Amino acid sequence: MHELSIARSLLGLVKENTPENARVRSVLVRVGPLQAIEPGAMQLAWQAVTDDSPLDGVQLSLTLVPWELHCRECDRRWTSEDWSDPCTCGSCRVDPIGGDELTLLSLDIEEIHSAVVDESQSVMRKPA
Amino acid sequence: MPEIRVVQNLLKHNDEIAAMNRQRLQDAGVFCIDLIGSPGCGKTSLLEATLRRLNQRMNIGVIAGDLATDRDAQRIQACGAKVVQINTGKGCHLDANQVRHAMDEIDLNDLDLLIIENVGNLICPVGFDLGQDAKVGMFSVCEGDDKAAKHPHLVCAADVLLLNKTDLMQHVRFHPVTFLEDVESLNPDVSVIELSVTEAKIERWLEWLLSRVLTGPDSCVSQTSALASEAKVTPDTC
Repeated sequence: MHELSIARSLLGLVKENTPENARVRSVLVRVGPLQAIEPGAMQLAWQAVTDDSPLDGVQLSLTLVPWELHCRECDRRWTSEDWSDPCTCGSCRVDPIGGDELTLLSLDIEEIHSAVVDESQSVMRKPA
Repeated sequence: MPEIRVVQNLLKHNDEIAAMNRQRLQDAGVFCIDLIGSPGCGKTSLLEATLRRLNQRMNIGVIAGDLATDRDAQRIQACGAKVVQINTGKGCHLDANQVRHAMDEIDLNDLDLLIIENVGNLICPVGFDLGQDAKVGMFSVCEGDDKAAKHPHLVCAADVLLLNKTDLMQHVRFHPVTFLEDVESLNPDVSVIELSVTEAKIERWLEWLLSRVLTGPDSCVSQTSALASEAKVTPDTC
């Protein structure tokens, strides 16, 4: 359940990168196969760490990157869901390349323009 | 809807603290390993055996991670090492910040080698950099010859892999060729060291460890220069 630690780290990064007067709608994260992230567990962890926080309800979009494989015999490169996928040349001498990506790519936000107006309206409503 | 590009590693803060840990270790001339394996594969037993063989010749500290109890710390302390136990509660792995605080409780300048025994788990600890010089993955034959294939994350991340309990190989139908082929396919650069801690067959592990300590931080060399040859002939007594 390392997803919970990763979700906590993600929460911190999202807060750091959110401008003032902006509301986050969704966050986009890319995950390589070497991170052993289970998407359902990650969504659950994200809900748990954002619950009752200003980020409650922010959607987590996970992009799971497949294995990138390289054949030692014919030098072919391809992607697969299975690291032990043999090459089309028949060779089983296949190496995984990279795969340890765990990146917050972007935040989708909406800007809040009404904050100042709302404040002035509430002041005006005060009794003289 | 506006988009803000970020492109930052999710474990950025962990990695920053890990880099600080690594710098502290380097400044103190300490070689550090992160030992990762499943519960019951023999991590603590290997540490006990390693300490028995080496602790008269080099200063070894241990940070032991477990969900609960200080039993590992007690076993390790009985072998003469400086040990700090981290109880993670429900946490399934150690992180760099926990290790940073544990390092505060050990005088690193007194050490040549720091061994971090991670929480027993083949999956969760792998992605968390602690500041170690080398990541050591540990399996045992009782777990089955498919464990490398089922845990590619650890195999790919490890600097060396240990296969323990080889004395039980004939009883558990473990096929070494299957295991080694999977390892070789996932990580052709990693070496596999076969061990039987129960039978005190850990010479290759000690040789690997000593060679890394000796070629690690410069300050270790003068203190441990005579170790490599002595390790092979030191009797296994506590």
